[in-house]
Amino acid sequence: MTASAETPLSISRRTFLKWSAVSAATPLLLHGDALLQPAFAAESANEMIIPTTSSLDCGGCCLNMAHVRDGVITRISTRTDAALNPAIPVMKGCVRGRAYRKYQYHPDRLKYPLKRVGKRGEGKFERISWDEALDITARRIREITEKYGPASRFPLLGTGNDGSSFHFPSLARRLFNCTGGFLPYYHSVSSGNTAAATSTVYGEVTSGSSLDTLLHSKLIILWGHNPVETIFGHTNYYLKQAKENGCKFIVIDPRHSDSAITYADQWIPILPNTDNALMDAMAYVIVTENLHDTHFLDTYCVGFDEEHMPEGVPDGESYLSYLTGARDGVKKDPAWAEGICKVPANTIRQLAREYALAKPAALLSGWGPQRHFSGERSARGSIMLCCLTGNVGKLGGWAGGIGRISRPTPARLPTLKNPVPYSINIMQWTDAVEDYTKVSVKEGLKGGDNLPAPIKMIFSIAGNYLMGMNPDLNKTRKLLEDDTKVEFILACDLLMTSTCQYADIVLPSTTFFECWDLVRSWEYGAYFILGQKVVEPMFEARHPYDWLRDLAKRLGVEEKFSEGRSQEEWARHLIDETRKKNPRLPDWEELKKQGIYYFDYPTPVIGFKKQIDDPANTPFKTPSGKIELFSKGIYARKDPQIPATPHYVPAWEGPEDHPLVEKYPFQVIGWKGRNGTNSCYFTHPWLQQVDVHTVWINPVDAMKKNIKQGDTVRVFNNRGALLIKAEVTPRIIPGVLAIPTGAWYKPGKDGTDLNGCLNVLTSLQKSPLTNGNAPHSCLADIGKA
Amino acid sequence: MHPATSVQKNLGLTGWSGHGNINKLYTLGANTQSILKLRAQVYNLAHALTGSFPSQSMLSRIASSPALVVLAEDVEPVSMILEGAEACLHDVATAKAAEEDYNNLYMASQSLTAPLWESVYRDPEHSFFGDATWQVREWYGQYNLAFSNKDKEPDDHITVELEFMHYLISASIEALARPEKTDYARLCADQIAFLQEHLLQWAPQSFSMQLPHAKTALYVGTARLIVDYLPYDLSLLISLQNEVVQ
Ligand code: SF4
Repeated sequence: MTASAETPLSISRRTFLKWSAVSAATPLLLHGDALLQPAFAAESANEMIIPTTSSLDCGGCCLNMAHVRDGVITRISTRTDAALNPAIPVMKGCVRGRAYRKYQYHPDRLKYPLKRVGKRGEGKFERISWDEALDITARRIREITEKYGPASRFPLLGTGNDGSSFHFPSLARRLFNCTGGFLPYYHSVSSGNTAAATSTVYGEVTSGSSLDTLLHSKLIILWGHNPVETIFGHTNYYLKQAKENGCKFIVIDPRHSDSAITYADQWIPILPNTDNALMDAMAYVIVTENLHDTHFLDTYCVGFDEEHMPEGVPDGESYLSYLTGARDGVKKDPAWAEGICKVPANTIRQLAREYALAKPAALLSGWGPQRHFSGERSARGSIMLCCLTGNVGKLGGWAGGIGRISRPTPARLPTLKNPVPYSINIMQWTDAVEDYTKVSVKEGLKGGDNLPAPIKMIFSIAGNYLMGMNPDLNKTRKLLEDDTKVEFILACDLLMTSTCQYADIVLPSTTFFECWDLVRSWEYGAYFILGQKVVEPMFEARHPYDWLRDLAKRLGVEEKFSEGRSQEEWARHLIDETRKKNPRLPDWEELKKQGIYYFDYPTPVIGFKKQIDDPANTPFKTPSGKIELFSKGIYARKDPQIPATPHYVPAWEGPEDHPLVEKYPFQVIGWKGRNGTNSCYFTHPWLQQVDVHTVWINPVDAMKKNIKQGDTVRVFNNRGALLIKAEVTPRIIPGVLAIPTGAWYKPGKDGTDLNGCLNVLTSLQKSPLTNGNAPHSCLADIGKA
Repeated sequence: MHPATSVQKNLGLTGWSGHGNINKLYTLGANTQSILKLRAQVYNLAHALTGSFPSQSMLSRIASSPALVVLAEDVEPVSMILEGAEACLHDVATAKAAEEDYNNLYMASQSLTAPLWESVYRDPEHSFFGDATWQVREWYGQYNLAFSNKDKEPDDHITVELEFMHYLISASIEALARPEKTDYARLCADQIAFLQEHLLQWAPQSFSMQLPHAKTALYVGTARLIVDYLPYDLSLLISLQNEVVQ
């Protein structure tokens, strides 16, 4: 060694001299595991562009092209406008879709199975092997089932990357069904209230029409409907065309949503929970100005006026008697409504006349209002208006309510039969943890008078409902922190969500780029896309089917669970099954190339057209065979919160809920923004820039509270408190605070949520008709932090 | 162009490589091989600690390495690591604490305070599989190597990059023993280039971020080893290369 004077060696020459004696004998073998291996120089692989889609819990089923080189997704593209085939309009990716690659390759992806090592919820985990994770899980399943029976096992809903024909949570249900069953829930938190309400009027939930019918509408009212941000199936594709055709749009919403920006000729801000007051006053104007369709009402409906009431109901119970004040002495005129809903009386008159005179007109009621305590009433009220104006069953009209239509779908991996006879409303699961003996039929238990056991085990696969989207998270947290109550929680996801934080075992899941699926478009689209496995699962991530199959092996039911098929073999099998009903459907190889299959779908679907065209032979599926604007079933309940006709009632935690509203003077509502699919993207840095997570407050309110734009504020009520930045904007009606949903629960030391998670404020209050969720009926106050 | 070629150009090495008997240009000292082996041991150590669970067997291999004991006299992070390893071998609580450190700093049960992949720092998208990942993949490919898990994990994880350096050093030790020194020169140049173009572009920054979160001597030492040793290794390599050129 001839190190010169300037050689920057700070290790002394002495060391090297000493070391030279040792070094000859020192092997160069690595202490750790070798990671590089000999490989022949790879030909630089060509990029492949593979048509595929996502299987998030999202209304879109968008064509997203994965550009793949050498096992890596290099970019995502979608269909261009120029490539649109109007006969088969497939959705193109939204801003979230454009961010999929970042989601796929997020450095925080869950990489390995984890086991909780601290207290539950403390957030301490350690890596374990898949074998260990599945051994623990199998043991816990056996122990808990032996002690409490299969009804103690509760697989929760998926809200994230939860699959389509391979619906991730349903795969767990299948496994449970192979081993004695599980406690199922019913009621969709997205649409369950409006579904139930719609059924009371029409006898079924398919009150929608195909969206192409909207191209015939003269006026479209988006009532609490925000498809620009939520992407509601194909809605925007058709609304855009309707707009271009010159159709007028009115948006009724407490928030000036992006849908209002995009479509609205007029935005009518309204106080939440008061929709029925506006509906009543609209009806009042329409009837008093004789703009209503008496033929329609007389022919198809019961309950509108005293002449068309069901047998055995005393006088004065018709909707008209309510409207005119014959029943209670109060005319439900626009001046009356203005005091409640804050829509100026003149605006109400104008709105009522326009809606009644524009024929046909489509009143699309969104699924936002149905998350309120008043949501069932407003869903029924929307139907009442559609009937009053005779827009039901007409091309370009709309029947209101939930707006479902029935479309063909690809085959799904069957869940098998559940031997457990009970089911609970989704809003009862915390009760079933806390004190199962109190889970009552009155509040939604089905299949028996009492549950046989508490919920002792929860599987949350591809969902952040448990500790993110469930209302009243502080209460839920207390329940779950006690691990003698729910004894085992398993979560499987892509990222360490707030739900995973409360799990005992956390398993890394696959994205839609890492597995096969037959992804159907939500009901308005008439196609499905083959979700293709374009890359290998990252790190040790596994598709739930694969690890559940291994778990099934440990439980001795592998054959029953898998029927001998791998995930890909199931996908091929489901294609074959789908082909039985759709002979045009190409085979696997062809489908891989073209990606999309359109079901045969020759003419527009008009909701209830048959009943309207041929009432004599096609009754509605209600007890009376007619549209029940008065429901005898509801009347029999004698519950003032859910009147037999769809009229206004002051709501629980609404603007007239005295004296609570004096203490907590703001109504808090949530909305689903462009930046999220439920709570999927809360840690996605790009999407957090698309819409910054803030509380919207009107300048009038902000001034009263001395809050300035960008201030950190505390929003609080008796259930919890959160910190968030303020967006002072006239885009929200005074008296209302709007906070986007989707934040991950993150309580600080004093319990105040640091992520601005709305569900520390919301409640587990059940809705009056169907015991559903009513989280956005929520009073709170706000102040500078 | 291969990245190494550009570095060779910058260092003025390509000018003379075509001039007949290049070996004449080498006047290597007797201890060059020892220096290379020493360097290999440092990379080996960092590779083990960043890439493997701190098992008893791995820690005792480290603690009983005579080379590391000697090195520890002059390189403080190494002495810290050896002390840390000894402590873990003799004290269950310390071993537990080290395992916890490893879980928190390397295993990513949560989001890591300092991610361990180059492209997370360097790619404009700050995600996996950015340009840096492709570049290191190409580097490995030049030596007919591939990351064994490349379809599932990015190739630019700290441990893989350290292993590649270890590979280059091992290869340079073999090359040094041969009379023909072209390979050795190229290997030196490639090590310089790989350090400059990759490891030094992000690893010291990443491990400085990690440092305040490391709680045990074993992992404080590891982080400091990366932060302090890598820039030093570059200067060491440049001296070795100067030696070749002289
Ligand atoms: S998030 Fe939904 S709407 Fe957006 S690209 Fe994905 S599937 Fe389509």
